Amino acid sequence: MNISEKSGDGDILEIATWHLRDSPAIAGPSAELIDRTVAAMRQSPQHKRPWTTISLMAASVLLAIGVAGWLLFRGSGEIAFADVMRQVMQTKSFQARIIQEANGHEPPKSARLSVKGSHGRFDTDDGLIIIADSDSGYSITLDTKAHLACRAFGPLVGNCDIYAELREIASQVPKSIGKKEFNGRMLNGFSGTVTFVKEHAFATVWVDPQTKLPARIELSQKPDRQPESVIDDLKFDVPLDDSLFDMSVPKGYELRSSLLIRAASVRSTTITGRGSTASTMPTIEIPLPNTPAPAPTAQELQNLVLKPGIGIGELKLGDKKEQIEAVLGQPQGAMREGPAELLEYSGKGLILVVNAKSGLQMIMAQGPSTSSKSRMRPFAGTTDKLVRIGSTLSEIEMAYGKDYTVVEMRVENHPEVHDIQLLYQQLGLMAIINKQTNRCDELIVVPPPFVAGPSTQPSP
Amino acid sequence: MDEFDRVVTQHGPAVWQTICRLLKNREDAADCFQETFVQYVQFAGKTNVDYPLALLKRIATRRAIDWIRKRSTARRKQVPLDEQYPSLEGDAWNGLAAEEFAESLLDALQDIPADQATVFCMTQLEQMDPGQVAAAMGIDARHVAVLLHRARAKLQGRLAKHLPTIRRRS
Repeated sequence: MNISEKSGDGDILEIATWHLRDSPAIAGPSAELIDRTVAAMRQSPQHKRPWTTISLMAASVLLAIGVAGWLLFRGSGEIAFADVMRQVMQTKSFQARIIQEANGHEPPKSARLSVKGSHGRFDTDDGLIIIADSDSGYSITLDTKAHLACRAFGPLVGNCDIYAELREIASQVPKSIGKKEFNGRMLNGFSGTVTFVKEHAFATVWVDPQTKLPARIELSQKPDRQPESVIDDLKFDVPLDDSLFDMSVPKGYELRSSLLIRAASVRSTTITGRGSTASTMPTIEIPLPNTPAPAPTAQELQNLVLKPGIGIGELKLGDKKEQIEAVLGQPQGAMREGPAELLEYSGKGLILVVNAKSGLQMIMAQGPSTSSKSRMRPFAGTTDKLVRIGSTLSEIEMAYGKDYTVVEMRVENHPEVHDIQLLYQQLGLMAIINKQTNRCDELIVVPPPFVAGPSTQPSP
Repeated sequence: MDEFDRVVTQHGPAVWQTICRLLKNREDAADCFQETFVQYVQFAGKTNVDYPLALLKRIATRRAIDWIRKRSTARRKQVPLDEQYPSLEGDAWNGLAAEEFAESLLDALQDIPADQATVFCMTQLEQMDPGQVAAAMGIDARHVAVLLHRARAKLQGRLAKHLPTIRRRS
């Protein structure tokens, strides 16, 4: 490579990348290092799966008993399990205390779980509150001691399909194990194996014969062992005020992108409502309102014309935040990422990336798949050549030609995540085609040339 | 051979290469290697891991960037190559310039958001599939492209300061 012939900033980056990538390898790791590493792993205090997985299973069993999967169980004895499930299905809310028994690494812990519809709330004894909405997938974690908050949109833990797990449960048959007294109440027991997130757990469900509702659930990871997790004090149809599930940041709390120190121990804790799960993995902070702002009027839409490489309406790439707000108004949400700020206009379906120095750098017009997650309205405007969210590949090609680069994005085992990104590098436009619908799902305008996805390899 | 032995034996060499690309120092790399696997155990204790190597590379990259950050509290003084090697020409000079750019890239990686730096390293240095990167990062695949785009823009800006030095030779 003749470096002196290279002149662009991008070339320097390519040279540097190429040099790092192809730098001579250092021999290793040595056998001694491997032994030392394995020893360190064994001493790691968290190599067991304590609280988080158990509570995940506990909460999921609560979900499980509230949906049709368990209806397929055929219990025996004085109460048929199907009757229990029919009773559960008629309830609209429940509360329970989840108790994690002490193990070799951690003292006992407990938390109060409240579920109403798609909303769940988890209050731990050490001062964390996690509120999640399984419909939207959003959650908020509040550290009540440090007055910190973290919003998150959590992908399902471990690629979990709760319905698939429930089908697995439904293939089992719970066994009646007789009666036992708890706190002066004689309860009927059923036991069975549940599978959740590819793990087996042994569950015993204790049912109140009067109400035919579960009163206590015990879970263990191995049969014939003391339960590691107990869901006790189960109460159904308790009045739960909607304010319990308010996901706004309380006054006096600081919004953080993650609560790594204190939240680390509950990162995978899942709160489950009916129908799906939402985790609190602090991956991407998206401080969005619960409902999108009003949709733009017909007149406003005329000013929402995306111009590749230029801007949107009268806004131009490079415009400052003040100019943006003068045209589009105050954003409904804002997130800082390094020197950039993401301004979210939920009613217009727009996310604008603004750099403090260089101004507006990226305009992302959201489509149905992203907007449903983020509770934004899909972008209802068009580009200068009338391409819109929902346009087909051929419509995009007719408008902007075929001089584009294709980047295919897919995630193994996630067929729903399969996009084709059309990069019009010289125009400063990216159109993302959802492979499931074969229609445009997002439009991104940036200053040209637009380089995204894996870069081309530098010349040898 | 238990689970820990198996994970380190199977994935250790690839993780080692990932770390050494960024650290270039055996002692630092050894510490970072150990930290990576311990953190992996802690992560794997909380959730299921579908792609162990992808997750290990993600952790290794983040840890290595942290190591660069730690040891770079006093930044290198940028001395133009022409001043350092006034008589050097041709391939030898080109090689030094490439080395200089690579060092500058390592410096620049600590100046951009950690997620962006991680995505850049995983896709550009490790040449991992964006889907695997997305799975390891726990983010939507399209967000990988956006992070990468932002990373490249910022890194290009940081590296642009080296242009005058090169142009003097051209």
